[in-house]
Amino acid sequence: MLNRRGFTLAELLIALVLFGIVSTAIYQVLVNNQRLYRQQTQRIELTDNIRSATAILQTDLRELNAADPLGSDIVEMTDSSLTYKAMRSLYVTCQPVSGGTVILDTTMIGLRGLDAEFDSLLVLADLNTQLASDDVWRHVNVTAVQRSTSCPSGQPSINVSVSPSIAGTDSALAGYPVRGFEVVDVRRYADASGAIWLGSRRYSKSTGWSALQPAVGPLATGGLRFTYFARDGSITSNRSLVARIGITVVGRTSQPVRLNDRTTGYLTDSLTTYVALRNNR
Amino acid sequence: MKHEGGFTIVEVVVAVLVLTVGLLGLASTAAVVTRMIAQGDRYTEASTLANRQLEVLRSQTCANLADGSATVGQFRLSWTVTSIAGGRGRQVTITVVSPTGRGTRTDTFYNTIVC
Repeated sequence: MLNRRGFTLAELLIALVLFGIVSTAIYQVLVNNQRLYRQQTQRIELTDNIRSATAILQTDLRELNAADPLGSDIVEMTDSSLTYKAMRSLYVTCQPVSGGTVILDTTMIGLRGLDAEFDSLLVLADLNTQLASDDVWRHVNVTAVQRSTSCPSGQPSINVSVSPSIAGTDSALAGYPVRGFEVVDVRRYADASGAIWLGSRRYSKSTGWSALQPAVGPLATGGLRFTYFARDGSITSNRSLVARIGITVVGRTSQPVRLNDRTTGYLTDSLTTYVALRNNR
Repeated sequence: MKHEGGFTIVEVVVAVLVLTVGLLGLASTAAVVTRMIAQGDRYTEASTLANRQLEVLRSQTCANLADGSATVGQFRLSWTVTSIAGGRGRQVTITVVSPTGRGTRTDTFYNTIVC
């Protein structure tokens, strides 16, 4: 045991150099992995964003009736903004409508109940009950919403005061549909820091437009584009002819990322969808 | 020091073989996963395009709906329209042919439009 040998200096040096080379390689792999991980996290957020933008807009816009002869559901349209009547609730009348009060069953289908500050009503007027072709939807303002028991045999009801009042000759009978809507505006806007967002705001009848709320973003420059198509597929600027709306969203990552070519920048991705509106074909 | 026990050559060869089989399995899994990701990518794009085309058809009068085809980038779309429910609806079949590394891939999407 006296002749125990250790490593020679040369062996040690070779071992150290090998160790150095191997650990540098491993380090490179780890750094690369981390860069890809960060990039991928941002990319996931980006695709999530543009998908939710189109999903949100699609659900709202699909309900629009641009061709309504008594007033298109599209209030104003440009290539970067859209003001429209957003359907929020569906009720059924439980008494024939005549005058300034619409009496509704308490059952509601939709996003939320009636709110006099924001909402208006569409009331189906049958007119000649023998004809379907003459039916129209009356647009009336909601001035008050009250819970009561005015349905047949004292059942609970929602009594809505409207203006203008609805004529008895409109034949809005019991069991007819009534839709509640509010006016909403979606647009592309830049915040104080210059980031571009898809923002939305709603119209209050007492205080006017609310402040723009960021809904989805950040977007790339020019990252929200609306295109309006008529029934025959041509582009139109006439609100009542719109049969289909094209939505293009170009999203941008919220953080700059290290790209594959070793530079730093934002990733962008885009998605174009179409929504066919109802009642316009 | 004469009875130092190492591995025999047979043991080493077996060990190397087992290791090789394992590594090859791992490598082929990676290849399969890469292919599946690319496939998912194409499928997403194909369904987005089919969905877009469906909205185009949906915004037209039923009487005007007809078979057709279009090319979007590297994707070829074709659609057929069949009258169903005594003319009260249309069955739409949209076929999307997408390019792949080894030829093409065809995805078919079905939907119904109420007239």
